[in-house]
Amino acid sequence: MRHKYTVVVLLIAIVAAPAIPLTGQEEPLPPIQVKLTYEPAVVLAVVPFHEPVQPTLADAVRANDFATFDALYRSAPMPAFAMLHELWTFSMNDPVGAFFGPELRDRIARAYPGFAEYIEEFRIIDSNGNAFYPTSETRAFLLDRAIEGRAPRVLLAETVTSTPRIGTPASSPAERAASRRRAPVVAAKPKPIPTRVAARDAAGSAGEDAGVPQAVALAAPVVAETAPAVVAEQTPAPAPAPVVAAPVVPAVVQQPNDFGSRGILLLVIGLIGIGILAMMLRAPRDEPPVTILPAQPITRPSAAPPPPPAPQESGKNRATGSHG
Amino acid sequence: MKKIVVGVALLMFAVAGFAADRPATPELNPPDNGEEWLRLSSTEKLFWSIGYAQGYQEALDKIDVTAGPTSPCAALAVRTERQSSTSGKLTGFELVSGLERFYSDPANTVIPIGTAIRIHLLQASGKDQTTIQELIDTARVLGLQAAARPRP
Repeated sequence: MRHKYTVVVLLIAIVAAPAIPLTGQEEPLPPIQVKLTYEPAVVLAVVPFHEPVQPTLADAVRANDFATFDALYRSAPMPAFAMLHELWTFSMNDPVGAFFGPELRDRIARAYPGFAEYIEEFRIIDSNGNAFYPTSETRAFLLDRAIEGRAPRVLLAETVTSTPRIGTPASSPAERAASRRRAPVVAAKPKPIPTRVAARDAAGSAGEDAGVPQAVALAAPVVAETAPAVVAEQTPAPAPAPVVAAPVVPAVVQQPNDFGSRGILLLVIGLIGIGILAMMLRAPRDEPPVTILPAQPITRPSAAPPPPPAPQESGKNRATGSHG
Repeated sequence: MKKIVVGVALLMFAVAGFAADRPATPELNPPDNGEEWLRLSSTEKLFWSIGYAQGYQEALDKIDVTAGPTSPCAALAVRTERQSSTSGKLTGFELVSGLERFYSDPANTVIPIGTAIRIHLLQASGKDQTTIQELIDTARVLGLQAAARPRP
């Protein structure tokens, strides 16, 4: 027994001997090796490979990068960004393109409902009472609409309804073309434009002193009004669609929007008519009052008819089943 | 107790007086470069541009007073600064539009706004495009170095 204990103690001592230094000190630190930097003989050009990220139109607008936006839009035009592209191009090419006048503001407001209320906050009015609207905030508005996927409302309906329609669908193409050529003459009747608005719009730039260009600007709208009519008359045989579209657009912009007011009036009249009709239909008729009592005269309970006679075979067992 | 009430009332009157003395106009942090310029609203940009042009012109007009009529500063002002100042050449609307155009290139946003105005003026005066591009490249490098420097 004692011999066994001795053997166990010896085994433990042999196993633990390397772990416990005899001197009681810690193990010495590993030798420090000086790292030598070796210059590689051949340097291979290693360039991290990144997938080329194609920026979108919205990214370009957010980064305020006009060149990229313009290139992207020209390569793949998107209707939702059309107005934004037009506005930004104007802003980059006009000497005072950071602001625009009421004419462009009205155009955008017609194309985007809610724009008029939005831009009202950013309107700047100078000492002469001229109103200017900033392009930067408008771009932000148009970007939001474009991201929502809302293209500007096309004003084709207004154009068609406001222009006097002379030709009929059954007319020959020549008659229709002739009637279209005549149409701007009727529409080109100059609408009185306020002096200040005319000066602003003709100047085309928001930063100019409104006092100076007014004399020049007064004549400009008159020329712009009459020009389409003259051009349309002198054009010998223009192609129907493109030639007509050019002179019609300025005339339409000047015309009041009768279609909307007329439509609203018709809608109101129709609603009133429906209301009157509904009231007439729901009026009480001269009919006898509906009663829930039976049509027979009321009889006393004593005079009630006797109960029905009992079945004759009531005393028998009722046969069940087909075999009885 | 009476003294405390009187003291509180005086304090409230003083606070109200300080509040009334504060200007009603919005405070505007002057932009250093294009990045800060693009953060301003259009109204702020316009006000800043008008103020910049007016202040620059006033400083030029007073440089002979501050530095002396025959000093090198006055001569420099007459020779170069008046030519490159915005006053009389650009309206506030034009200055805003020019800066918007200049900073529509994202690489230019590091360029300090004073440099951007000078480059824009040179562009507007019809300086050749090669010189303009060299100036822009130099300004970009200097702007990047300035942006990397910690602000005081």
